[in-house]
Amino acid sequence: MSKKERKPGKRRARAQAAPTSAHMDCRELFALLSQYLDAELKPEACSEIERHLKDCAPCVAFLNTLRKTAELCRQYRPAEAPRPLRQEAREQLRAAYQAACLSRKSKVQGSKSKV
Amino acid sequence: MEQGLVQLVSDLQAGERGAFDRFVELYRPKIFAFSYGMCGHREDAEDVAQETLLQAFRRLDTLRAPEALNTWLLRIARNACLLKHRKSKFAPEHEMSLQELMPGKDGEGLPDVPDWSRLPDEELLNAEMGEQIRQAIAKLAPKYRMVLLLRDVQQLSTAEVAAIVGITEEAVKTQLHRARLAVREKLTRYLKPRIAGAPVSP
Repeated sequence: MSKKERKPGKRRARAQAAPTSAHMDCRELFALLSQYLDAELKPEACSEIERHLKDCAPCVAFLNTLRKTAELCRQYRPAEAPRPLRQEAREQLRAAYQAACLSRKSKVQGSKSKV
Repeated sequence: MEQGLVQLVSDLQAGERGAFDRFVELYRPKIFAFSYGMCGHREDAEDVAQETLLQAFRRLDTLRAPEALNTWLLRIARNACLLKHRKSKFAPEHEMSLQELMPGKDGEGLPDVPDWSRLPDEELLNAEMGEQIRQAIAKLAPKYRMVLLLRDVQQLSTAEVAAIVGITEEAVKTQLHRARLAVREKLTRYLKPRIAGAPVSP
């Protein structure tokens, strides 16, 4: 990784900049990578990130693996499936549903009779 | 929004014959997929799915827009998960800072990063990797796990996740990033030996 670049300001002093990226260092970029992947950043921030990535192989590798992580999560489906609904549980749901339908009907009839 | 879903909600609210069974068959597995991710146990996840459907039927009148069905159900499921959380064991809440998630030493840039993203699909999309991802998600503290499950696994928008969880969109982005970083770290530890000696991508 790059050598430390002395810049004024506490933030610059703590973090390290890539050799040719005077604007955004690895640490600043690191905080924004998911928003970059999700296209949630303003164009100026995207340009800064892309400028940094041109010269920083570790950040490119990090971005690639983070992108793949999100892709794998999107494709992930639990291996387990729910067991078939037990009769008792189905009846409990059906009773709640029927009660909701009855209550809805009586509300509709009530509003009609007011008219 | 699919016409079929609008029709299903309309049939359900009108008490049409068959709508109940269709709704339960379609949405019970979807709710389970989320609650299983949150709870990590099939029995707990089935309880949450049952409680969610029960609450959904009881509040059927409050669903005004059929296109909001998915987020409406997941909001109920999220609350059911939190109730379950109080009664059973979840991973402890732990705030993850960006600093602890960034590889390398504090004050320095990234060290060499093994790029496993180019491993062939056979290495990345098998059952063993599925189990690694499950474990990585399960290890996240609940608030990070919930955002990652909703945003990446359920593929909802940042705004939808914010509405379900009851946090700002900025907080969703922050928590999602930290959750992804932690999952990436675990996958990297697992995959690193498979690419030992492979060059870092240019």
